[in-house]
Amino acid sequence: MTSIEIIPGEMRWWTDRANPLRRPAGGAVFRELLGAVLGDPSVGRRVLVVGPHDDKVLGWFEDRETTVLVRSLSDAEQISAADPRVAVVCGDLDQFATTVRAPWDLVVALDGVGRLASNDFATTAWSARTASLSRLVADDGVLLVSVDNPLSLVDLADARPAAERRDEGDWEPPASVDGTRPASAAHAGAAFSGSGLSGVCYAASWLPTQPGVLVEVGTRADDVRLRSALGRDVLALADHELLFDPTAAALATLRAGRFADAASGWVLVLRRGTSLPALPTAILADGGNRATTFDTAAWATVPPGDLVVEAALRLVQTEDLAALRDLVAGYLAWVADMGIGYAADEVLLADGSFEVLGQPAPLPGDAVATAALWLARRLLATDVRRVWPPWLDDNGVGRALTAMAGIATDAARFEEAGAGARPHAVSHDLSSLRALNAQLLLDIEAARGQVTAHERLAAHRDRQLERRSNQLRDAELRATRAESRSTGGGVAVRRIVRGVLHPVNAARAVRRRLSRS
Amino acid sequence: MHHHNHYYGQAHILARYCGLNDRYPPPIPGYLQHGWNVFDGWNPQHEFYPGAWRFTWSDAPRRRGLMLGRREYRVIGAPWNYLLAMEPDLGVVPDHERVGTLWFLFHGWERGEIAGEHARLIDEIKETEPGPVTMSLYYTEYERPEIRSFYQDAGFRVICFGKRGWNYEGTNRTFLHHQLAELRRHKRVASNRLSTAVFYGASVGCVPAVYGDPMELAGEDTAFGGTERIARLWPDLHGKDIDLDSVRALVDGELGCASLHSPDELRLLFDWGRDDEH
Repeated sequence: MTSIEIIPGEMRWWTDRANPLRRPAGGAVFRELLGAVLGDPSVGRRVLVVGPHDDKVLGWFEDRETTVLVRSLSDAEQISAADPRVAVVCGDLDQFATTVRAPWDLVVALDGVGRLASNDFATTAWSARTASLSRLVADDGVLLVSVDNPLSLVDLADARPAAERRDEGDWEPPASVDGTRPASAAHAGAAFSGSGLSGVCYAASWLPTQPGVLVEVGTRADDVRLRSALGRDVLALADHELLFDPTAAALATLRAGRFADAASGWVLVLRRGTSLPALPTAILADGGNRATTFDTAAWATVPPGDLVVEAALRLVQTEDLAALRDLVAGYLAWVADMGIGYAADEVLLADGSFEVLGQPAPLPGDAVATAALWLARRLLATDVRRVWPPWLDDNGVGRALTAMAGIATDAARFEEAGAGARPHAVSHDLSSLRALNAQLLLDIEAARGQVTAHERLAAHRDRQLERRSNQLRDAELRATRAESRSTGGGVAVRRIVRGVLHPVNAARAVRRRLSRS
Repeated sequence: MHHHNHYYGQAHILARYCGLNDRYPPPIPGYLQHGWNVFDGWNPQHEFYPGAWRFTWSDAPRRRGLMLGRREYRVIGAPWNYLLAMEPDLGVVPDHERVGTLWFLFHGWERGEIAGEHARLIDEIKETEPGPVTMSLYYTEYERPEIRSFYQDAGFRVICFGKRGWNYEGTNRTFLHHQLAELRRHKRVASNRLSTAVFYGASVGCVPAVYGDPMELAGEDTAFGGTERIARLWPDLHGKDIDLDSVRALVDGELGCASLHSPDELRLLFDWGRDDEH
């Protein structure tokens, strides 16, 4: 039997946690961030989790006195059933904030404040909701809150009509009409300063509620580790309808030092009064359910070199196949030596030697075949110059890469490797699909050309065959005649030969003979 | 387009407001909210024909309906507001002549009867109400002598405004007119559940009250959250001694008073033309 405190605004016939448009907050990166906060002994025991969060998030507070506030009644029932230790309150944030309750030592709102207001009440502005949230934080309490970036690359790349993007609820007006929503990381931080809360702001991507990357705003961000993590995490956008793959644009913002401006959102760790816990400078997902944290010193030590995939793409784009051959040969030989396949997106090339970046999971199956197939699929992306003919599909190019490396190719090895080689890339965006369409049209044209060429060849062969047949027949007749002469063959044989060679004359001769008789 | 639109003569009121035939009102191209409720004006399982527009009293029903994926909502305010605009004098008496309480018993409907402790409710009404009580029963209770006699025997004046109608038949077109006239004669309006009539009464100056056994309705859908949810959302409208001034904005909001359309605008909205005049 579960117990839920229902306050005004509980929403029936609604779920936020099962919303396919916006997953509940969670993931390995947030776990590391919260771990850093909870590890500080000055942070008290009373925790309030506000809004839809993943079930696993509640497990991170197992030794704390935890309260959860959600607006959806079915979400509340699920949370309460899954973890009876947690006190669950269901209803509207403003209603919750106006009731007299002891403030909390730690308030966690990693889904932001977009899904905290009930449609039983008139829509409130972002600033009003954050004000309500801030009131729940104790004098020396900590607030973790996510803020969506209205100018994020993912939003710009979003192909859905505006009406389909309202993941916070269709009854809400579009976010663009709320002038209180922050449009920059600086605005986001300033929005809480009026409540006496200040602290650290992180840029987060790709999903604001389950980011694979968190980097403190204001720190240097152009880093091979960050590029690798962003590339790895882009698979989180697999369910998104996109106009273009935002990766290239994101990497450009890294180079320009403007990652925070284009990030999907910002995560703020704020405290009122006392000093903040010791926090990491960056947290990067390693894939799977793991993430690595970097303190200031670790983040400052940038590994030299490029990712193998970056180097390979550059060489293909410039059609420097000789250098590509050397790179691929070195990379696949390194994989073969180790007997463990690491994706080209996870391997660093520096001064001609290869090194795994971070602690990624190795590729499954045949190490060389899977690594080659992974790289092949990255090099066959629609925005990459095509240096292999169309009849070489991804398996074919993978085998060509192993051939480049001087490693014996075996089609069966590549068939088996197919499932294990799922590169970090967006391939379903409108731009890629248009490029694919153009490529397919070229492929069709090429196939038609081949059909035409084969038809011409066939016609030529037909003519050759007819000529050769005639020559053969003549030769046979001449041979028969010669044989007849040499053997004194009878009149009948000669007539037959003449009849075949000169049928009109033969017919006239037969008619003459018949008329005489 | 849907027979619910004719309930209580609401389509007739809107047709008259637009200067059109109010005996046989032209069809409204969609669904007109016919009563106040805690959801979107209809129940969550209500079937609508595809692409139907829904004309609601206030914005909260619109917001809740969108939550279900329903679209095409337009807030026009309660037809009651249009009746008030057309009948500023109907039943009006000087304030000092307004007496007693018009008490609405939570009612059943054509497919569900109510059950509850009527005797206990009568005791509570007598304890509470300062003046004479007029008991309004819906016909589903009025036509059950075993219920009607409870209230008649208690010394209450018992009235019935008639039938809302069903499938365009039996509709009392002046149902709301009579209700308006009665409300304007009374000082208070009360019910055992917060319901449409309480909002109507408060809108014409009756001091509202909601108290007593809310009773049970056979087959009542708990999807709405029941009376507990209503009490949570509108606590100020529950009790025996409610300050009318403090709840006036709330009442106006639920009836959508700010959404009153002009006749021209309403005609365009309903695609009502000159052909509908007679």
